[in-house]
Amino acid sequence: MDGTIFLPLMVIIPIICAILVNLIHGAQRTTKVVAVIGAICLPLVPILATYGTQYFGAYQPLINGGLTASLPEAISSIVSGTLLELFHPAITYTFGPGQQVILFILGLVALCSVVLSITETKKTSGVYLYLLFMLTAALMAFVLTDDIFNLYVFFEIAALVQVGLILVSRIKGNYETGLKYMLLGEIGGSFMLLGIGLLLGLTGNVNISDIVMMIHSGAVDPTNPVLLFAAGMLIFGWLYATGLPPFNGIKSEIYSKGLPSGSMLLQSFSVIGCISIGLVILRIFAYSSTVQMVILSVSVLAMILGICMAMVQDDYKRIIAYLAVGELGYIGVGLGLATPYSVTAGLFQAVNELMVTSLLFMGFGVVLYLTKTSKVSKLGGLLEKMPVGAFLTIIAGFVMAGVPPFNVFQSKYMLCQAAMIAGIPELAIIMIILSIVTFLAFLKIAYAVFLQPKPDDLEISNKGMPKATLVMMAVLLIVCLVIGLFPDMVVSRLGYLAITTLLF
Amino acid sequence: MNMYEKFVAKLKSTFGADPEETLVSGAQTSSVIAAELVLIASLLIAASTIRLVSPALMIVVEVALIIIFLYVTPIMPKLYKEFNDDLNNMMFYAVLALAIIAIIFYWGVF
Amino acid sequence: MVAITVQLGALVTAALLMVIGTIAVVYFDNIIKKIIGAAFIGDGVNLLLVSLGYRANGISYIFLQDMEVNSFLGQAAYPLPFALVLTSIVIGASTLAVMLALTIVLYKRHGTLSATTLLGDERMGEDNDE
Repeated sequence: MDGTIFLPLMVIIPIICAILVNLIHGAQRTTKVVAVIGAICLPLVPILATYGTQYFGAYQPLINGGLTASLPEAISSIVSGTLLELFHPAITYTFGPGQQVILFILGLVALCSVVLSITETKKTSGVYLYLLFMLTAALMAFVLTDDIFNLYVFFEIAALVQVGLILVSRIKGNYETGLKYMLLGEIGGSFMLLGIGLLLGLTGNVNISDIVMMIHSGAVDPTNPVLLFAAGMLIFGWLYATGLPPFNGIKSEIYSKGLPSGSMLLQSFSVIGCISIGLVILRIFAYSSTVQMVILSVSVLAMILGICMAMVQDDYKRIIAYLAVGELGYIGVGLGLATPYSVTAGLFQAVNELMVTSLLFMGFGVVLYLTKTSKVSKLGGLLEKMPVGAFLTIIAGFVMAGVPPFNVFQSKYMLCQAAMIAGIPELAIIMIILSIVTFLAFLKIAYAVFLQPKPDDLEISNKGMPKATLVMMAVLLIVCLVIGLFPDMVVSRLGYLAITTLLF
Repeated sequence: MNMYEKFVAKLKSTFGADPEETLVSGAQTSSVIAAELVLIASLLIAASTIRLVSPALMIVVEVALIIIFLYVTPIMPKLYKEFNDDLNNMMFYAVLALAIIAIIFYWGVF
Repeated sequence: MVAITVQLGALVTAALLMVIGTIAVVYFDNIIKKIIGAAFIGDGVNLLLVSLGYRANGISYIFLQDMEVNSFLGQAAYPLPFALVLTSIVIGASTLAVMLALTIVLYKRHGTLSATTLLGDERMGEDNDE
């Protein structure tokens, strides 16, 4: 069987699951079964699929010969032998080794999130599952698509779904946060569309490969100020999607307003948005040193601000949220150095962070489930209540800080090396200092939640530990360990994506 | 000891509405001090990458940063107050970033 | 001459819409006014996209059997921006609807539309009770 049939299915399966669970919302048991089956498909499909390209509507580029027969002869003679023959008339999805790794890990995180939401709520909500699946679909499309407008459409869908995920959690102030996020999103999204519009106006295309071809073939002047302005607008959209400064405040706020299962996917949006939009910017504008400098400086600022702000907060959800923003800076550094090695390292860091931040949200989700509070100063003595959960959470913290033999150690090591090779050792020093401080910030919450004596007014509910959460955490940790011990199987695939990004 | 007490008083007025009643734990104080030192150190190190553009500019920026740090410490409580959840504040920074990016890319060097 | 004026007019209007929208979002305190400003930015971008596909004395981009190929290619407008703008308008409408719905809920709860009171800093005494 031809494996390329799975390519569109990666986006279609979560969308169909989303619609189904929403329709059969009332029937609890059926909803659960459909959701679990759909969620298990998510990591499996990328493994089964073969590498290839999907042209929607089967409109292949003219050079492949599919459409030439249906064109009038006069037009064919004009077109043949020009750049027009190479253009992609259809929305194109590209699937390669790099995408496979990213989508597999994303599928795994989505699976954990769905199972978590089913086990931690008494009454399974079809609407909530709808939001989770829809966000997953949007993220899958983010990674696959080669069409910049398609990227924007899924970006806006994801933004709406994210607001939905915040609204369903009954945490105080979630409506206000949702409105703030939408207002800021309107600015970020609109100006990103402005950048896409300017690119369309200059190159006449929305397909990224075609835009790159137009610029490299000399049809568009690469130093055109309007083109560079478009780059700026795309970077502004990238900042909004990723939550780098100046959007780090709102990002950490929305993480803290989501349920644990929702927050996992919310942070996946930041990570996937960071790498997919970042790769688009790199593919089109890798020739401009201004773009690289802006990406690098914003990323360094995000690392410093995010991790320092995490030390000051008093709410463990916010601490994790700011740490997540800080870790995104590492990915940005990888992308900003714009060498094949550094981009590979950045992508590797992104894949790892996808898992690690999810692990932390899951672990502290258990704490929230048992105590109903997220203030560090009100917590304590939970080690007795949840020894296994505490153990797994503390290991997750070690992973995030980059303790060997786990995967984040490998990616941070690669990033430091990339910075040294690029001739900017200061970046390596900053990254090492900040990963120590990451560990310190994590230690602060771990000490306060698990080790310090239990305050008298803290009520710990007698509900049993959610077993499924612990199993999921263990599975993710094992994946982290395996990737940490054998990084080559991930790095070689991601390296392929990095090289194709920078060369074509 | 005088400086430490001043610092704790600053923290109390930052994290609570009423400085008399707010309790700031030792862990919180030490983590804020750690964040403060890390911020200063890493910003100074980051500023030294300007040498790739022009060494003279780097010296000016480093000296300016040191003077700024001398005058505005403690920074973290101020940053905590500045990075609040107020929409107007966030919007201001978003539009400021937009303006900076537009200027850099339209008039900036290639 | 007319052609340049039409397209230039559209582009200038689009730029004005974006600038006015940004100013409205930043300066007005009323949430509804902020939302209108945000919608202005989106509309400005849409107008810019549409005007990219404009062609003086252009014809619709549907190729009929009895048409001369060269004159069609010389006259037809560029179809891609129109398709994109349709999608973009739908997205903008749904975003606007959700924002207004949220505003209604917040107004019913608090009885005010001031952004400073509703969307201000609420970290003090924040307690995440579910």
